[in-house]
Amino acid sequence: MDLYTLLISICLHECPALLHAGALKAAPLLWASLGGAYSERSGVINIGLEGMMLIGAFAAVAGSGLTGNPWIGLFVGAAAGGLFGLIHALAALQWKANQIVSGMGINIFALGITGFLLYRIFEARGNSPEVTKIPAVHGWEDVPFLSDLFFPFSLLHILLLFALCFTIFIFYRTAFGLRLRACGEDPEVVKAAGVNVSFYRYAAVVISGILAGIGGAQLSLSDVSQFSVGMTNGRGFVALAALICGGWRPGRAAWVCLFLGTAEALGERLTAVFPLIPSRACQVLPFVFALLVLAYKRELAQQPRALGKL
Amino acid sequence: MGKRIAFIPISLFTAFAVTGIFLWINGFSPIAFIRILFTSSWGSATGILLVLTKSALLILTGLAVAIPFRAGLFNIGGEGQMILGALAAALIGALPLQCIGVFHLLLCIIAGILCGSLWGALAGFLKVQRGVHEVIGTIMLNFIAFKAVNELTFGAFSADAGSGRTSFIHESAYMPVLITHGAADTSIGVLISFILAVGLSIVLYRTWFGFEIRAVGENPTASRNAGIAVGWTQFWTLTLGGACAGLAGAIETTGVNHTFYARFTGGLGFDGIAVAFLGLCEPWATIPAALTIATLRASDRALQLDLGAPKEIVFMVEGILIICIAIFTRRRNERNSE
Amino acid sequence: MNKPEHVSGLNAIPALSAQGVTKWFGKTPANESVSLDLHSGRIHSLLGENGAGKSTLVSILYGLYEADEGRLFVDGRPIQIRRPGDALQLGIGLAPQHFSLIPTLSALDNLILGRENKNGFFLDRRGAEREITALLDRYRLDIPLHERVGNLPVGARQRVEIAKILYRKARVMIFDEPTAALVTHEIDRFLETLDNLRKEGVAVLLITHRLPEVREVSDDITVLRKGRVVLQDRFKNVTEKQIAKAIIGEELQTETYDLPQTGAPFIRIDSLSTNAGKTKVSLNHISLDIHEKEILGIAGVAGNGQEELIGAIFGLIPASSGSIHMGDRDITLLRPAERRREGLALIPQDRREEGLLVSHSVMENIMLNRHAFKEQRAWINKSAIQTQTMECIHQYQIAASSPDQSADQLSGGHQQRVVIARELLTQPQWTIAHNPTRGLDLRASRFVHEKLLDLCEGGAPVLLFSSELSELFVLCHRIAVMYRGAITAVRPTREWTPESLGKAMMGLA
Repeated sequence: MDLYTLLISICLHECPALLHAGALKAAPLLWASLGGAYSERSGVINIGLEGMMLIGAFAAVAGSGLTGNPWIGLFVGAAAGGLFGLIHALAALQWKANQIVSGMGINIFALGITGFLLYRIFEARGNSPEVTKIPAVHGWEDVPFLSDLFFPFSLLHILLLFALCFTIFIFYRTAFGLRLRACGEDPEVVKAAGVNVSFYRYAAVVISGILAGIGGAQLSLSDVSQFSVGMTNGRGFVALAALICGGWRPGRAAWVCLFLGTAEALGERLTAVFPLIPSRACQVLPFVFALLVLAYKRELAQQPRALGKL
Repeated sequence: MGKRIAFIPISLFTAFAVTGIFLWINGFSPIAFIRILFTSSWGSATGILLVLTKSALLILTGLAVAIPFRAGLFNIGGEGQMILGALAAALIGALPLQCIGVFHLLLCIIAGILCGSLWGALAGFLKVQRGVHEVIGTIMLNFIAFKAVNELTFGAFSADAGSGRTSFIHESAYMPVLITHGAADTSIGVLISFILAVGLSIVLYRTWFGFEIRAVGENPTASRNAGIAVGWTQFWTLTLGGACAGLAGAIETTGVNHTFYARFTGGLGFDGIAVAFLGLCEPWATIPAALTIATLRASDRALQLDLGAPKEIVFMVEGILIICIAIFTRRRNERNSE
Repeated sequence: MNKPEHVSGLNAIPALSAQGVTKWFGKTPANESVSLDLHSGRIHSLLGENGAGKSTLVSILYGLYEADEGRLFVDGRPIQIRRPGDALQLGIGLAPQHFSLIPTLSALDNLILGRENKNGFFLDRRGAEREITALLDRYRLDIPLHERVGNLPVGARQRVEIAKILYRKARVMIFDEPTAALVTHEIDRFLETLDNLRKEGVAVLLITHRLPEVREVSDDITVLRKGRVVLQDRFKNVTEKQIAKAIIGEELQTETYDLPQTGAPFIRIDSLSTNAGKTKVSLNHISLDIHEKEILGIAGVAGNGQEELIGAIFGLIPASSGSIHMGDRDITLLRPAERRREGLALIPQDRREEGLLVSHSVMENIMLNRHAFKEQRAWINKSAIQTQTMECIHQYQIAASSPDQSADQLSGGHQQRVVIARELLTQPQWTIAHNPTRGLDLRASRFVHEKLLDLCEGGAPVLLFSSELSELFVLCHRIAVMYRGAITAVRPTREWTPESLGKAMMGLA
């Protein structure tokens, strides 16, 4: 095989496959990033995304395992995430807790309660049994180029795209979004305009939890079909980092998530093709890159002015 | 002071009450839970030694959070700083330097401290010079440390292919044992961490550097007006915090594991946040705070065996505890968030 | 007290009326049985010194405070205003001194925030824009609706603020010091806008301390002093002399001080410039000579570069060109701590935010002057500092029972004493004071003034930034005016009159 055909094969096969793998890895991140966007744009720091994802991942598996219906599982996962969002909102807004500490508490609490319930519900430690997962979309398998790029994917991915567009739309084209963003910039002004700031912040943090919960469900009920303890493995933090690198804008955060996912996928594929390249080393690079971006493009990181302030 | 510390028993009570009710609903006996919690930790010499060993790490990771917080910074990077410190100690410890005797151990510890402080300093640099918020900076640096260390332990520094750990360190690099009891022991790392906690309290309250840290944490604008180099003070606190976390890693490697594997921390770096805030970010108070959290951590296995409840139950207690603390400590660093 | 009588053509029932409003803060009344009527199509000016109770009254009218006694009426109906939301619903709008706008949002978004038109689920920006454009035309307000508010000049921001209130269908508008941050042509434009509002039948309450504006637009006038109404009448019935007298009162003879003879030039600021970030003012070739034993006043409307000049003098903002000399020492490139070591001292304008560690002890606040304890290296010698603090407490009569008392427990005046005690601990060579008497009562202000005079008698010059013109007139040898980041005039105090100084501050020199 000469170089030319190799190049063509890369372009036609490897690149779409890579993008596809990257997009799959990016999906749970993006759910959580979108969630983070709601909370942080309303002015509430949400470092508890990790915990909200984890509880979502567990609750989704539990829901699906107990009822046999993955959609009920998804719903339960979202609800559990939302519940954790509500806990964070209560702590941060009602009791004016330090939002960073409270978020870390949520993370550790989620780790504990998922482990406990895993044992209670499935009598298992470490990993849950396999449950019914969210079905994949069929019908594209035979299309040559597109199948590489888009297949396989589950219905949850379609929902994610919808959620992304919906979020952008909510933020910039609805009164709810305008008020929510204003709360994150200057709650006093919003209050003076006769708007109930607390309502918007509560709503934002709960939505944040719901989306992070769905992100967890994406991991446990769509990418695989079981729950394992601590399976989010820091993805909530990565999602937050992606959000910040994207300047707290959902659209840009989506690109950052895709970049991080693709870079991870690239690492794995490189090792498959060239065993000499250390794949795990490649996994460091996106984070180094993101940090450099933050350090050299300060204006990207224009944080909501009232972030973390009540 | 009275009002300030009243929240600690309240938080502890809330955490245990909520967990107790939760256990009760799920058919476990809350009383047995408490009993096993204490008997397995403070009820036997072995248990006490385990608590002490764990509290050494927790004190240090607690200091890694508490010291920067006194200057108004939030160091979430304790985990990464600790991992790097542990790896550095393991690598130096595995070098054939038996001939230099106790200096081998010292070298390990210094390497651990240096690597940890370097990681803290990097976050400090990004914060002070480049305006990267320290929370996000330390989160990223954590990931870089995890991933890099993961690669190194499976790759370049792997003891044998795919083992995921480094070679065992030489005995000359072992931390001397403080107390032994049967098979259990604890190294002098406990002593070091206790001394450091008290020492840093002295630094904070009896030296001008410590005063500047507190001044910056209380009011950076007034401090800047008074001629204090606010950014550098913050930089040094992160470096110091990183050094504490790095030391924690070195102690764990030289005193407990005698090798390095990537998942050794089990989240102890993040527990530093609980320790620091339970101790109101006073360095000396990380000692009782760490003992509290260590009690939870030390009893997790016993809970699983004797109570039949999964060991993650202790994370529930800890999580609720942290949320309660977050609520009660309110917003001490409100001023600095600008 | 004469109330404005009914004028034919006007609605006899006031649009908003306050009767016998009293508000206590602790044991001092901020408002004492204040009555005030606002009529549609009339502009009512509310005057008074700082602390006369104007802001309190406004807060009560707008629902930020609740009055302890007294009643409010809208169109003759008794009403309760508990929240700003209530006030808005009753048609009462407030344009606060500091704009209540969100700089990252467009003017349009700021206008519709909280009162959005909806088109089903959508935000109907186009519909809102049509409505608002019509509104702006009617009141002849000119606003670029799609520009971010952060990019608009101050005058335009104020128009956004006004439009925001009008869009909420306010019939009563309260302006709190609307012209404080405006430059001259913007003020003229604002007064035009006020006139338009009046023509459209809005009842306006204008709070200000600038007589010329009052003269130009007022129909009615009320003067408050120490929380009481001391003058209330139709504007045409009173003379400016009466107004001025009412504002100042009888008892306050302006204090006079004996100023020491000034000596040789000591400080030389030469063509000092800075590059500003986005929001700050940049300094533009500032040159000043300050003599020994001199108090040089810097007058100027807030935000014309005062903060930046102080920052540049202290080394907090790097100079892009020019130099600062103290004696024959060039301090332009020194770090802040080094400048302090050379003898610079600062009494900042906001003691709680910029000067004190409020939750720390008095002693630790004294310790902030590191230079005073420079013989101590790494370790703190607590007993030495305690002695020093006791001395300060003694000498400055700080109402602290011990050096360990928290600064938070002191009153504002005593907090300021702590700041001054600390800053003067090391016999500074050059003191910068920024509104050092802000928020202080007469006695406390006098204390501060005397300390500044003591300082300059000792030989060290003082640079006094103040927005209290009376303070500048009594204390300063010379007064310089800062306008848009530059010094536009420096003259001996006797060559200034309040009018000429006011004009210069507006950039009319």
